[in-house]
Amino acid sequence: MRPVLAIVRLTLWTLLRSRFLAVTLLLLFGVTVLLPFVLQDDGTAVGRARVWIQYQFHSVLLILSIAMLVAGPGLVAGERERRYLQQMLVKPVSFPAIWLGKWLALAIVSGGTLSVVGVLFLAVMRLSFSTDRLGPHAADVNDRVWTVRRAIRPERGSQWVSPNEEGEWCFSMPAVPTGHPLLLRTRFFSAAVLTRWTVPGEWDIRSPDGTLLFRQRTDLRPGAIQEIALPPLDRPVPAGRWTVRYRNPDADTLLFDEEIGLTLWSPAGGFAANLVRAGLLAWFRLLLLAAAGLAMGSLFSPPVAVFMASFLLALIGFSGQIGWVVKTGQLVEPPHTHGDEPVHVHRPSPARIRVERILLGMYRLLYRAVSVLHDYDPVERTAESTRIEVGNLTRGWWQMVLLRGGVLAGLSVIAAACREWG
Amino acid sequence: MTSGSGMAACCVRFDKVEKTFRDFWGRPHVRAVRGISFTVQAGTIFGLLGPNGSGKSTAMKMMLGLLRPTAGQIAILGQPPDSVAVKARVGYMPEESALYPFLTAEELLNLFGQIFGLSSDERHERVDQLLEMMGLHHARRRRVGEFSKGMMRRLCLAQALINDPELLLLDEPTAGLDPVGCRQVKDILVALAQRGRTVVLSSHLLADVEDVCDWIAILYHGVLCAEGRVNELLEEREQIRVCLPALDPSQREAVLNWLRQQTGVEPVWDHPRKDLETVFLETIRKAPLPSDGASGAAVEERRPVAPFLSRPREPLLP
Repeated sequence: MRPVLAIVRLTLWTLLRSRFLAVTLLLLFGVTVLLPFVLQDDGTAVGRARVWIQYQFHSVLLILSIAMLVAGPGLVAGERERRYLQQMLVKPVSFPAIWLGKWLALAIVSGGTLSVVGVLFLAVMRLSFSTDRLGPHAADVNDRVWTVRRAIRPERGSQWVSPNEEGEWCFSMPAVPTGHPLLLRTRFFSAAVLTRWTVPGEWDIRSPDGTLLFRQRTDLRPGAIQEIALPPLDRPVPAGRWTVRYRNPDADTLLFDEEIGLTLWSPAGGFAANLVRAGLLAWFRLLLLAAAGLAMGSLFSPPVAVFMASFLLALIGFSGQIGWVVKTGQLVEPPHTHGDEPVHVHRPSPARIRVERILLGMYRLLYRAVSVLHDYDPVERTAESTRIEVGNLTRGWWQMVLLRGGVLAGLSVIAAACREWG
Repeated sequence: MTSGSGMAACCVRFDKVEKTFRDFWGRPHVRAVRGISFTVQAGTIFGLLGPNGSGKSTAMKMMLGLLRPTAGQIAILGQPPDSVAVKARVGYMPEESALYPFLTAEELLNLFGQIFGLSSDERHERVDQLLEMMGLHHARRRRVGEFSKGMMRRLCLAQALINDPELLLLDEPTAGLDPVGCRQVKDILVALAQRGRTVVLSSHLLADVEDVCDWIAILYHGVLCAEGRVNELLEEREQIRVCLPALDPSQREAVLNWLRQQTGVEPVWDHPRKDLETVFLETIRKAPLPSDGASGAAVEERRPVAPFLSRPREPLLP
């Protein structure tokens, strides 16, 4: 263990004295403290808070991701070129121990910087969105930002609601105590979006014994995620099946989003604790990227390793688009048509079909490589104040750090074993 | 070919070792070492000689497990060279001093001490002694990147000695050193060999090799051309040399006449010359030190070997 600790110390010194750490910290400080001044929001306090969280967290994660990916090639391929690694390998320390030492040092650096930035970020948020500053909007921010919620998905429900008809969703709910504020979140699509800003509707929520808990008329914007805060209950409701109905008085059919649909959100803790869990998910992602950077350094020469690391970073950046292609099976988005415009069905040539199949296969492969980062993205959940469950953390640790990180470590060790260090 | 008697403990064994470097496509590119065999006896200083590109450094790197032989076998202290256990008993000074430039001399030696698993007390003691021995004690807190080439070479030797190695492998140890540094390094090597350590060095500086080595092997184009004890290889048994104090001209003529009569050949006479190294070291010793102190390595002709290296060691075998 002592040689590994020596490598950890050495790597920390390398990062510190090469000013790598200083530059990274400076950028992170700038993002945390200065970025809010240039961000634009929808004018509401909740909207501003969410934009801050999303952009700051994204920027911090991006900077640290670049740092982890770029550090790896320098620490392995760079040191091999300068012959520092050879000097180390003639000592009683194996390449896996050197790799582990460097990875642990990157883990310490990423964990440490994430902690510092997290504390700074929370302090800036608390100051900027304090009750004194927000005044009448404080309750809204408290309910929708500082309170973290857990989603309860319907057991069954409508996928669309025709004009002048009613959609129904059933939720298996736990016992809900008095004063428990619930939130209804939904997204639907309607042709009305082309002509009008919002569509009218009426919500009706009933407890297991049929008592009306909530009824409200709404005007909601199609295509956007909508949140409707339910007033705190004036009496406890036992566990059972809740029914949510939506009456569509509009002339257009509403199509509910497959992913978001309609969910009830129950309070499940505070923002700070959720931020810690999000930080852990972000840290696991950085540990995976550190392993990827070190693997690039072990497999390739310095310029190729840096190129591959940059390519991986670009891939992560475009993971949303790649995911869209994989899910829809379409390489390009079909052109939008308006009302009475004729739809031209273009039949592609067999050669083009073959090329598209190959490209789709490549997209699927690329998506497999980066989908794990998408699946365990901590930013969206933090911005939407969605609770990150402990089970999610353990799965993230297993999927990102142990499984994929382990594969990358194995690849690095195999590459080193095949390599000559002359 | 073997250095020493058959019964002697053997530290390094090369058995028909070949090394061919291949290009990107796996095609043979350069045959650096061609079937060489030799052994190095424990407690000796063994010199690998040869011009540039003769395969010395390749052979050295194969001893360290950095390169794998294409054919043949290598045993270091009785084990494969890439074994971690063997590396704990070996010290290596590379041809190019590849040392972390942002660490201070003290931090660097401490780091390597830690890798060798030395306790904190032992590490600090050895670091102090090595820096003192190499004349770098005044630069202990200076970053390695600020060192001169000579200081770097000294530090490189110091790091090779931190584990008190049984086998010391030195690639061009005196390259880049001033004559004082060369002398110090050679003295240290001789002292280590006298205390039972084995030294293998590669060099193309023949005078240095002649000064310190017991055994030499000459490589040329990857082939072992000659190997043997230095004295045996250099001795000209057909001639003798007689040294006398300075004689006046008549005495000298009488001696030469007597030699002509006795041997029937014309004797050659001259005045013996000091070697340049001796003259240089005497000059340096007499020169006054600048009042503002020295910036490079401290120049003292004779420095005691670090106490932890002074323990006599039985030549060990696995």
